[in-house]
Amino acid sequence: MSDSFNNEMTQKVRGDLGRRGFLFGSLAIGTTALLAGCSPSGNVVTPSAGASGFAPTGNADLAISWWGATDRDTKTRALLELYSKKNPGVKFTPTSGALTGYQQKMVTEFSAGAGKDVFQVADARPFASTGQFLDFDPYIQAKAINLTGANQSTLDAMKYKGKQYTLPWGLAAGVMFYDKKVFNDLGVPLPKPAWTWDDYRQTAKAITEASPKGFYGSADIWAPTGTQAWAPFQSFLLSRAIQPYTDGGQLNFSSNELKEWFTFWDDMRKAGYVTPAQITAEETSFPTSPIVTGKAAIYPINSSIASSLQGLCKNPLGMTTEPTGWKSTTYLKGTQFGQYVNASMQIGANAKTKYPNWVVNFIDFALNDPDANKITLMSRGVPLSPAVTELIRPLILPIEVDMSSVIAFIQANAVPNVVTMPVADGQLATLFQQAHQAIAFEKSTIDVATSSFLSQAKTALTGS
Amino acid sequence: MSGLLTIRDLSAFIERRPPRESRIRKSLSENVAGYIFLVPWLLGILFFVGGPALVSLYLSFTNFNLLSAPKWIGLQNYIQMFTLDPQYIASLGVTFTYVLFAVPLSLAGALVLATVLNRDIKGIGLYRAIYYVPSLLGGSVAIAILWRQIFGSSGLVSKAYEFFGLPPTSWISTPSHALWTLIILHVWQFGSPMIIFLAGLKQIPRELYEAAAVDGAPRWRQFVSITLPLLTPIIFFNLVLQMIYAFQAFTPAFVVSSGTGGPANSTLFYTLYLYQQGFANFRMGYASAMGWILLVIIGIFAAIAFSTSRYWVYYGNDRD
Repeated sequence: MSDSFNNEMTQKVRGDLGRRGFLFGSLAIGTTALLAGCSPSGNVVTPSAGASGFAPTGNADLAISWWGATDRDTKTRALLELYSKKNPGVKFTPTSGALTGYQQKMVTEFSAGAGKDVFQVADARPFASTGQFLDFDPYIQAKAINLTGANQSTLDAMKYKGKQYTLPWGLAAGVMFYDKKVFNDLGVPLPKPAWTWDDYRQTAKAITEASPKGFYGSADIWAPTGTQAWAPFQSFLLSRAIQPYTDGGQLNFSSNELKEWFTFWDDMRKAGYVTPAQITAEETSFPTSPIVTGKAAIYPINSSIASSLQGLCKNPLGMTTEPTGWKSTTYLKGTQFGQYVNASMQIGANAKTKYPNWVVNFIDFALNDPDANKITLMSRGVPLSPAVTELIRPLILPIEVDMSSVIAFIQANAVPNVVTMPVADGQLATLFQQAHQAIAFEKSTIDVATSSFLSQAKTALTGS
Repeated sequence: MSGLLTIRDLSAFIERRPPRESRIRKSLSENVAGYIFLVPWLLGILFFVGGPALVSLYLSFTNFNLLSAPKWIGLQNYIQMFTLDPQYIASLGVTFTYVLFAVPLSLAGALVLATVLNRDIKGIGLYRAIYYVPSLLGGSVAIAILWRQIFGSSGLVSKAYEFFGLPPTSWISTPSHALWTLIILHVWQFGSPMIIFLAGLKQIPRELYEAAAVDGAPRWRQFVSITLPLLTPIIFFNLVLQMIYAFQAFTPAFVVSSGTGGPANSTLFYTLYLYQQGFANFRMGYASAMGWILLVIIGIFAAIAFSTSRYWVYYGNDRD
């Protein structure tokens, strides 16, 4: 599947990105194909235990935390068990649970000087900016953490002020999941990764019109547990070659872009192509999302939940990139591919850990060890190492195969996001959701919501 | 009373009093055992309530993100709250609406049930226990989740709408209805004011009802002219307690909206927004300032309740 996918996309990219972009893209796709053809074990990077100067010694008791549903939880516990088996001196004290409240607990623990040794983390900036996290750069230079083959622009996107405090524990991107059965039953063509906002609109329209009342083409972009609207809006800005923030951490766009965005979604909602506000607000977690409850055929969310989401849906799901303004002539038009790969789940370590060498060794193990990755598979997204991704490809679900193809496509076409996001970015995401809701529930007009968002965002950015 | 006090009474009183020093010594020696027993609690108040409260007062004048040292910014947090923060104003609106409706409704419900349960029938103890159960459960996460289910689009309420031919409606995800689900949840937890009302009802002398019945007063008249006036101290007590409790409501809103205060800020309670600012936006200084304003608001409402109480709370004949 991935080969035909790659070929088709290569054609599209060739048409639109110019020579340099195409070379970059084909290089990345070619590398993937090359690795796919080789015997997996020969190419997999083995963990670099005992790298010069950072070899772990003695015993260790490592406190570790992560969030996730049962599937990820079970796999992570098995991963810890395997590591302890290979390193009998190392014990783990695991803490796991839901994402709700996770970051809050983490902040409280760190402020009390009781942060875990190693952890999954979503937003590293508040910690990195205050020196709480271990700087991985010396370990990376000494190859104690092996990053061979890892996409550099993805690593750069994780950096805080030029330093690598966290690493992607699974690559992800904002994507659109779709219900394949609904598409096939209605005879609507499946979306392709290079689709534009016009294509998206036409697709949602076709589905809504061919479906019984109460079924919608797509979930709204502010799906409460989904990607939420802020990240896709940033992609839209990037497609216009506008960085969301200035170097000084202030907003770098005007009310025009904002209004255009809000108007697009308002039109979609009023036309009935996306779910009405009430249905969107009903979503409190994945099981209540419209694609699971059978109310919409397309659902915008982060790619990393692929297997969990598929587990909740009766029908087979597909996945493609978020639409991008690229090529668009009518809606949200842009001149370049706006998306980039992120990691909603990063791995980081406590700067004050008693066992930095063990922690680093464990991280290298989790990222690179073939046996470890055969356990964890894609429960956090696509592995950072392309070799590991190829190794586990035969073991993953069809939706996860789609996921790795989509991530490869985005990596091949991404425009790097060059600005370090300010610490208040998370706060802006919340304000943006509220602006969307206010419009959707007709509590404010687009103009009012736009100016209210801009003024609150300014306060948040200067206040923190 | 002061008019009746003569100088002779006063001098006699002073003569009887032992010298001040020995009085203090006496009271100390009498109560020393009591104070020793209280030490753990006094220390607890000092270290776990008084200390943190003072620190939070200081933090309210700072910019503090929990992870680095607080920076003094004077009154900025307070100024921003009232001039630059529409969410804050929204949270005030939501909280006032909640208190205004939830407290009187829950007190009325509790009073009606207490009156019904204040009779000698078989198994009355069991009934009282059953009606008290919601109070034990009400603040829990499980009930909040259950509530979300009942008032959600596939829940009981929506099905009832459909049954009567109305379009199915999810109260939880409709801004104009969402707060009401939480008000109903509060009203449902009538157990503890009900028990206090019951205790109050038991104190009212039976003779009053008997005399009224002999005079031909119907039940409602007895309720209005005997029960209500004699119960006002209890109503006052319950009112103050429930009001303070309602201002601090947090768990149901957090669970029902998954911590967002949505849809469209309709369940953004004061405490929920305080939590968001402190722990989601890492603005602990701002959150502290919000905490102090909440204290002032509750103080003002309590003061209003106390200052008006002499016009409507009846403590028997001792003031005549």
